[in-house]
Amino acid sequence: MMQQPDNEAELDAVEMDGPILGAPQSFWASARERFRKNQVNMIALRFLLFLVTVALLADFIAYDKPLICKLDGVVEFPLFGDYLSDLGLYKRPVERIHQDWRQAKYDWAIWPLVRYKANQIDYDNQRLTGPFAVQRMSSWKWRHFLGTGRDGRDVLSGLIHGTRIALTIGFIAMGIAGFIGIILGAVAGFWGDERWQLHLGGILFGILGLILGFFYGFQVRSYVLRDALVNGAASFLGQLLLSFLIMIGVTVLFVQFSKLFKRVPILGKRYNVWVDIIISRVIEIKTAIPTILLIITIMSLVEKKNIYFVMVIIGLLGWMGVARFMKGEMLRTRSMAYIEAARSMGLSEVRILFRHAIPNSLTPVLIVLTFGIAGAISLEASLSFLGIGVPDDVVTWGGMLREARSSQSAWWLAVFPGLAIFLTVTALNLVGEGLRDVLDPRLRHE
Amino acid sequence: MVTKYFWGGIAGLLLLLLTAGCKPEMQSPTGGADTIPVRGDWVRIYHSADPDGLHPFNGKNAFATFIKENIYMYLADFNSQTLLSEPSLMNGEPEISADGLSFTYEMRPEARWDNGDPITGEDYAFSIKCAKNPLTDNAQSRTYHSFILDVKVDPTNPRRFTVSTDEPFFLTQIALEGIEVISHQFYDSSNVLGKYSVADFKAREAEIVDDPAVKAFSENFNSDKYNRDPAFIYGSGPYKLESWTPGENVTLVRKKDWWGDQLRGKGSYFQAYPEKLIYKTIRDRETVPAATQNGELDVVRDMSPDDYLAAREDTAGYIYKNFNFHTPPSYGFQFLGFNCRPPANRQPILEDARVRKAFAYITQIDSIIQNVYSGFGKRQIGPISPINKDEYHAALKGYEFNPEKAKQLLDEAGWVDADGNGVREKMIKGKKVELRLEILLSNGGETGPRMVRVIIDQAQKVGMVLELNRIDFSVLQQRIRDHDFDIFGLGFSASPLPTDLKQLWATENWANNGTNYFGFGNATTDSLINQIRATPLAADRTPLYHKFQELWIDELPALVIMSPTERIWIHKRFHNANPTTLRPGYKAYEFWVPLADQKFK
Amino acid sequence: MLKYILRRLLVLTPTLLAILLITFVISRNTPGDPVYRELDAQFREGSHVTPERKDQEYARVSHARGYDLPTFYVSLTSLAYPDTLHRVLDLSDRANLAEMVSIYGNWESIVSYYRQLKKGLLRIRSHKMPPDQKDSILEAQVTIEQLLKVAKRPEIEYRLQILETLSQSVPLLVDSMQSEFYGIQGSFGAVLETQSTWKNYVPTLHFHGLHNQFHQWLMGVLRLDFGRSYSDGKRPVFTLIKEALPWTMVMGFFSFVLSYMIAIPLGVYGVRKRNQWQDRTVTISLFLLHSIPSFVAAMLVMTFLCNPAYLQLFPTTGLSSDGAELWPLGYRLVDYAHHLTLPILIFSYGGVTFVSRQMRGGMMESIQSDYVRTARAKGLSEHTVVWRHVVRNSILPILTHLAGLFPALVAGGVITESIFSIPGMGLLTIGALGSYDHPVTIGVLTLTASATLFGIFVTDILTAWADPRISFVEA
Repeated sequence: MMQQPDNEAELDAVEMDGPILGAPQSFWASARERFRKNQVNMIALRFLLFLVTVALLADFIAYDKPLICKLDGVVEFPLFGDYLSDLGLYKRPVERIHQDWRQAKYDWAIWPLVRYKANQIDYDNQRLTGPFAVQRMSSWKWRHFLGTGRDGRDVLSGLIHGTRIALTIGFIAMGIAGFIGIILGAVAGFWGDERWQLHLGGILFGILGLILGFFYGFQVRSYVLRDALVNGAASFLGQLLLSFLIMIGVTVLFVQFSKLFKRVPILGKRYNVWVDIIISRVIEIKTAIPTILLIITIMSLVEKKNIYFVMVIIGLLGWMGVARFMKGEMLRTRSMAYIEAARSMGLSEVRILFRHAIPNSLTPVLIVLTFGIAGAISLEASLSFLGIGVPDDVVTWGGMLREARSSQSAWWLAVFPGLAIFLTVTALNLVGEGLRDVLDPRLRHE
Repeated sequence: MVTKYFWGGIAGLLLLLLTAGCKPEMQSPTGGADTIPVRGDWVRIYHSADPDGLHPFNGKNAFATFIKENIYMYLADFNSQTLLSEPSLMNGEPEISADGLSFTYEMRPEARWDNGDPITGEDYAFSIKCAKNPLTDNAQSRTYHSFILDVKVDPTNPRRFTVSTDEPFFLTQIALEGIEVISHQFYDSSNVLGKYSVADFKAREAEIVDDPAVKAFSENFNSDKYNRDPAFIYGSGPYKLESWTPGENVTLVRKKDWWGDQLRGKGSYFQAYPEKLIYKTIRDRETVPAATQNGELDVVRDMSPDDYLAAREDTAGYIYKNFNFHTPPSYGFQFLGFNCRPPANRQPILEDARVRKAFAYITQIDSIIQNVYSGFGKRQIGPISPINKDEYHAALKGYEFNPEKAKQLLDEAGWVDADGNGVREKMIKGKKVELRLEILLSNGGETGPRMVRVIIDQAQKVGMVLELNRIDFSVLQQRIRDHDFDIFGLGFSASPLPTDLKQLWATENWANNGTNYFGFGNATTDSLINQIRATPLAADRTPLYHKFQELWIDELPALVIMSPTERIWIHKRFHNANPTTLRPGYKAYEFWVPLADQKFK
Repeated sequence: MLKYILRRLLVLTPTLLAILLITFVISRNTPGDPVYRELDAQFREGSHVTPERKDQEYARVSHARGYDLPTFYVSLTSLAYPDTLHRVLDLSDRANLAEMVSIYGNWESIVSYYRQLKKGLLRIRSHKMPPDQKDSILEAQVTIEQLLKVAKRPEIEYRLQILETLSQSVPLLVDSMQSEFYGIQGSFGAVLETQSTWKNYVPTLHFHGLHNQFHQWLMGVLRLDFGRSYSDGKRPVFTLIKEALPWTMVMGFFSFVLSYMIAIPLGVYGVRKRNQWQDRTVTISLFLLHSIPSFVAAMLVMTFLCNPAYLQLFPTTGLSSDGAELWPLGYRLVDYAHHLTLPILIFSYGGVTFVSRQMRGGMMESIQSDYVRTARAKGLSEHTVVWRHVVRNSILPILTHLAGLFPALVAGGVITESIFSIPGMGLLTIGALGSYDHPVTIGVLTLTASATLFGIFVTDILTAWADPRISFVEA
C-alpha cells in the first residue's frame, strides 16, 4: 500500500529528454500489429470490450420489468416505457403505474437475463441468501444466481449495474483529468520557462484581469453557484463552466486591452513567463496532499451525496500524471522539424501549440489515461468501501465489498465484487502496459 | 449515578446505530462446584473508541462512563440485577425533611481514600462546588446542578451532611446520590474552595470568578493530567488506572486493599474480583470476531446483528464453544422523528397527523426488526420503555402495517394522485405540492439506511416519495435543531431513572431550539409533564404517564421502531457474569474465575 | 550548490504558503458551526440554559477562537459588502447578512432591518404565554427566527405576511407586539426602497492588516499548534499527532525497506530477462498483486493466519500482548515485531509493484546508454554490468520517491491501520473523519503536506549533491 502512487499514471512519471525520433509513416499499423502479437494484451482488451458492452446494455441484462410482453391483450415495452417517461416523452396509463410486473399474468413476456434491478429489495430473500442456498421463489427464473445482500438486493444485478458506474467513473474522471492535464502539461512543456514572453503591461493587466475575472465569475455569482449546487450536479457544472468562461473572458479582454500600451517604454519591455515553474508547483502541491484524504475532506463539505461529484472531484484532482507525461512528450515534440517549419512560416505560437504540437503528441497519452482509469476505478472502490461520497441507493462494487466486510459469512458478497474490481483494474493495467510497449517512444527501438 | 446515566443518555442521542435481541437470557451462571468467589484473572473488554478522558467530571463519552464506574464512587448505585438503588458510599437511606427539600446523609464509616483518610461530607461539598464552579470545563453539569442550594456538614460528625434544594422535583434524590464524590484534599490541597460555601457559588459568583486563587485551582482542575495520568486519577472505587496507551488500551488494576473489601456481600458494588480490567480499543468493528477467535478478548458488546448471529449459529466455532451469549434488553429506543411544526420555508406536509400515521402504517416494523436487525430488538410503541413498569402503558396500541389504511388516511387528508405520475399531490396555499419527504440519517451505521430503504420501497407503492439523505452528524444536529427537516432517524438511550419527559417533549424545548426537535406538544401535554416532575411518588405518577402516552400516540410525533437489545458475548470461564439492563449490559467487576481456570495470574 | 539551495528555498516558500492556504480554506468550510461544536452538546440543548446565556457563551468562544476577525489579509468584495461584517458573531447571521447584501446592496438599511428583527425576537422570547395563546405566540417567535435565516424577497415577504396575520388575530400580540411587527415590516420596506444592486458589481479591495484569522492560524501552525480536537478529550491536535506518528513511521520504515528489498532484485531480474517470458510473468504477477485492493488482502490474511480454525500465527489487533508493559525490553520488542508483521506486509505489497516498475523503467533507459555499451565492450560480464553500472545509476532516481512516501504512508494507513488497530496517523485520521473532528483532519492534512514538501526539498538537494549531472539551473 505504502508507495502506491496516487494514481497509476505516476508509473510514468519519469521525465525524459530521450532521443528525438520522427514518427514513422506506418506507426499506427506497426503499433497495432505489435500490440496484437501479445496474447495477454488481447485477452485484457477483449475483457474490457466485454465490460463496456455489459455497461452499455446493463438495463437489458438486469431489470425488474420485461423487455417486451403481452399483457391484457396489449403488447407492451415496459423497459422502453421507463426510458421514455424518464425523458418526459411518455405517460404511463394510470392502471400501469403501480403495476406489479413480477406477479402480472402475461400472455407472453421476454425478460432480461436477471429479473432484478440493482437496488431492488426482494423481501422473500433478505438477509444474505447464498447462491446455492434454498431461495424462496416461484421458479428458477427468479433465482438470485449469485445470491443476495443483506437487504435482499441481487448480487449479479449489482455487479452488472456496478460495471456501468465503475466505467463511467473511470471515463468521466479521466476525461476531466485528461483535458486539464493535456493542456497544462502541453503548455508547460512547450513554452517551458523561457519560451513564452509577454510585455510587462500584458503581465500586469493579465493578473488584474484574473482577479477581476474571479470577482465577476465567482464572487458576484457565488449565490447563483450555491443554489445550483442544491439543484444537482448538472446545473452546478453548467454554472461553474459559465463562471470560468466569465473569468477567462475578462482576463482575455484585459490582455487585449494591454496591447495598447506596448509602446510605453517600461510596460513594453518583454519578460519570460515561468509557465513551467508555476505548473510544476501546482503539481507539487497536489502531490504533497494525500489524495484520498483530500477527497474525503472535500466530500464532507458537500451536503448531499452524489456519484457525479465523486467523478468530478477524482477528475479535478487526478490530472497531475497526465500533465507530467504530456510535458515530457512536449519537450520532445517542440524541437521537431515540423514545429520549426511552422514557426518559420510565421504561425502564432498558440496556433502551433493547439493545431500541431498537441495533436501530434496525443497518442502516447493514451497510456497514462488507461492507467488513470484503473486508478480512478480502484480509488472509487476504496471510497465506497469507506462509505464516502456514494449515495445509498446506488450499487457499486466497493459498496458491496463494504457490505461483505460486516457480514463475513457471506463469501459471495466479497468474492464477486472483489473479482470484478480485481479483473477490471488488472485488465486496464495490462492494456496500459501493452500500449506502453508499443507507443512509448522511450521503448520503441528496444 | 444520575449524572452518569444522564450523560449516558445524552451521549446516547446517537445516530441510528442499530442493534437488537429477542429474548432476555437471564439465567444464572453455569457455576458448579466452585461457588465461593475468588479474586484474580483479567477481563479484556472490547471498546470501539478510547474514552475521552477519565476526569471525574469532564470525561463523558460512553466509554469514559463505562470505565469510570470502576474508579469513582457515588452515594448510591443501581444494583445490576434488581435495578434498585443501593447505598454505596452513604450509610443507609437519607433523612428527608417534611417539605422534601432537604436531605441528610451520612457516609459509611469504612469509606476511605487511598491514603487512609475517611470520606467525609466535606468531600461531598467539594464535589458539588467543583460541579458548580463556573471556571471548570463542565458547563452542562453546572446548569444541571443549579437546583442544589447548599451543603452543610455536621460540625460534630464530619461524615454527616445536609443538602438543601430549591423546589420539589421527582429526580432530586437520585441526582444528589449520583454525583461522583472526589477527594478535596487530593484535588485542592491548598483548600482554595474551602473559603466559599456551596451557597456562595450562586450568591457570590462574580467574586469567585475574579478570585485568582480559584482561577489557578480551576486551571489545574481542568488540566489534562486528571484525564489520563495514572498518578492523577484518584477515586474511592476498587480499581485505579494502571496505564493508558492511546488508541490501544486502558488498563485498570485492582487496588491491593480496598476499603470496600470489608463490606463484601453488602450490595452489588462491594464485590470486585478481577485483578485487571483491560479495555481494548479496536476501531474497526469487523475485526472483533477475528480478535475474539484469536483469544484476544473476553467481553464483546455491540457487534453487528449479522456478525453476532453468525457467531451464535456457528455451533462448531471457537466463539460458540468458549463464550456465553447474552442479549439483555435496554432502555434506549430508536425512532424516526417527524417535523410536526415545519417552519414556513418547508412544506407543511407532516403537520397533519394523518400523514404521520399513514407513514406508520406503511412501515413493516416487525419485518424490519427481523430482517434488518436480525431480531435483536423489542417492539416498542411509545416513548417509554416497557421495562419501566411504573410508567409504561401496557394497553397502548401501535400502528400495524396496513397499506390500505395508509392510502385511506392520505385520501382523507387530501393527498391524491390526480395527474397519474405515481405521486400523490395536494393544493397547498394555491400551489400544487407533491408528497415528497426527505429522511435524514447520519453518516455511519449500516442498519439505519437498510431500514429506510425498506420503507422507501413500501412508500412508493402508496404514492409517497421518500428520499434518504445521509449527512454529517454535526450538520444533522444543526438541521434538526433549526427545525429544517421532514423526518430524521436517531437512537436515544435511557436509564432506570424515572423518565423526565420535559427534555424531549416539552414545547419550550422546541421553541428555544432544544431537544424537542419534533415540535410536539401543546398546553395540555406541557402541564402534564410539569405535573409529573413535581410528583414525588412513583405510584402517583403512573396515571399521568399513561395519560401522556395516550396523547402522544394519538399525535405520533415520532415513529418508535424498537428498543434494541444488547448483543454481548462473555468468555465461559467467568462466573457471576450476568447480563444486566444497565448499560453497557454487564458489570465486569462482579466477574470471578475459579483459581484453576484463571488465565492470567 | 549554495545558490541552488537558495533558489530551491525561494520556490519552496510560496508553495508551502499555497498549501497552508488550501488547508485553511478547507478548514473554514467544514460543515457545522465550529463554535457550537466547541460548546458542549448538552450546553446548547439543555433546557436550563437561557438564550441570553447561550449568546454569551457563544460570544466568548467565538472571540477566543478569533472567529470575529476578518478571514484574510486582504479581501476582494463588492462595494456593497461592508468591511465590518466579520464582527457579526453568529455565523449563520453573518452568512445571511452577506447574502442579503448580495441581493439588495444597501448595508445600512439591512442592518437596521436586522436590528428590528433581533429586538422583536428578544421581546417575544420574554413574552408571557397564557396557555390558550401559547401556540400562536410560539409560531410568531419561530417566524422571526426564520426571518433571521432567509434573504430572498419572496421568502421574507411570505413570513412578514404570517406575522401580520398573527399580530392582527392573536389578542395578546395585538396589544404588545404589533408595533414591533410594523417596525420589522417597515424596515424591510426601507431595504427594498433603497436597493442599490449596482454596488454589487463594483469590486473593492480591503486591507485588514495582520489581525485576521489566517494570520492567527498560520502563526499557530508555525508553532505547531493546530487547535484542539473536538472529541478526544479536547486535547491539542499536535499531541494526538505526536502520539500517532511514531507507529506510522515504524511501519513506514520497515515496509519501505521490505518493499525495496523485494522490488529492486525483481526489477533487475526483469531487465536482465527483458522481453522474455520470465519478464512477462513477473510483470503480470506484479500487476495482479497490485490490483488486489489492500482491504481484501488484509481480510484474507486475517482469516487464514490469525484463526484457530486455520493457522493461529499472528495477533489480529493492537501493538502488544496483554500485560506486555511489564515484560523486559527484549521480549517487548519481539512482541511488537510479532504484532506488526502482518500490517507491514499488507502495507508493503502495493509498493513492490511501484518500485520495481520504476526500477525496470529506469534501468531500461540506462542499459541502452553509451557507458553501458562501453562496459560491455570492455568484456565485463552481464552480471557485473547490470549490478555495477546500471543498478547503481538507476537507484538514485528511485530514492527520490522517498519524499512522496509520507502522503502515501498516511493514505495507505487509513485502511491498513484501521483494520489492524494500529494507533497511527491513518487510524487517527479515519477516526477523526468518522466523528467529524475537523481540527484533527485539517491538522493531519496540513502537517502531511508540509512535511512532504519539505521532504521533496531535501531529496532534491541530496540528489543534486549526489549526482552532478543534474543541472543546478533547473529548479
